[in-house]
Amino acid sequence: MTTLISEDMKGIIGKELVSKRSYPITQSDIRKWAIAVYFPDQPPAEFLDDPQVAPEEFNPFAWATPTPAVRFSEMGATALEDVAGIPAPPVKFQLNGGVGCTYGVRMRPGDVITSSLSIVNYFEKSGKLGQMLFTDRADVWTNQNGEVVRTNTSTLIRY
Amino acid sequence: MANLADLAVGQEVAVLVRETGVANWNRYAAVNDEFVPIHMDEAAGRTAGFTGPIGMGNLQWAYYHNMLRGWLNGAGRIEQMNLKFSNPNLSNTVVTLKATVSAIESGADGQTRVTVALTADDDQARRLSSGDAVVSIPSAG
Repeated sequence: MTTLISEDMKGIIGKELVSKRSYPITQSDIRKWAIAVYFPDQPPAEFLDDPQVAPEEFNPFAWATPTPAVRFSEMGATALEDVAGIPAPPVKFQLNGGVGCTYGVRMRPGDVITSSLSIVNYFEKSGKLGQMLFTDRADVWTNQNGEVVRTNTSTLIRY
Repeated sequence: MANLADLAVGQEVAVLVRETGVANWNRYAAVNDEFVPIHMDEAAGRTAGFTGPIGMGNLQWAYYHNMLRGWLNGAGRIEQMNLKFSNPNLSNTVVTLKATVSAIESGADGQTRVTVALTADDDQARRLSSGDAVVSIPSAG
């Protein structure tokens, strides 16, 4: 079986691919997030009236960051390798294969969050849609005090 | 939330039901800046091998958090969550998420950690995702 995993790809495992910093979180950000994820229900009052914490899964990097952010959602299935500046594997589509998270301190209005993303591992499997490339990623978020907000792990399935 | 002393392994503690489709997904795309064709466009979904657009795994992730926050009702916090996605969330389906207690452990820090098994199934009997979460609840006394 031809492998999708090149030597260049093996070479970026464990290295920081992207670091980004958020704008300060606002109460409005928290309200809009809660309204969207609770739709069609009304969100709990703690995220609406005078929110002092964000929902655990809140994304402080959506839409804009102070320095140009890598917009993975607009870069297609080879975004990770494109960002790393290495030849991309021959994949066209991507799916979310699994996510994990350990939470630290809560995100609050005014917080500035920094993220550091790296690739932990590549592996392959054969599936219903053909040869599939699995990519494990780790993304550590800290706040302006250096406290860990969350450690995210995720698996990207590409084919 | 039920009294901590009343919790038992095997007990189903939370359920959340969502009718899913572009009404949910477009709202989520708007706050997460996740305007990906496979989540919005019929043709893009079919090109990728599905019957149409599919839901975001990130939104399903949020639904699990909603369910657990609703169960805890401020009496505890989510410490960890892990999910594996096994089937796509097809449009115009009803998704049922459940949390079932799989372990209860009292910690020396005054917190009881409850592990719950998580599942999400659609109305076509397809398992969309499964995993687990650990929540901490102050121990009684």
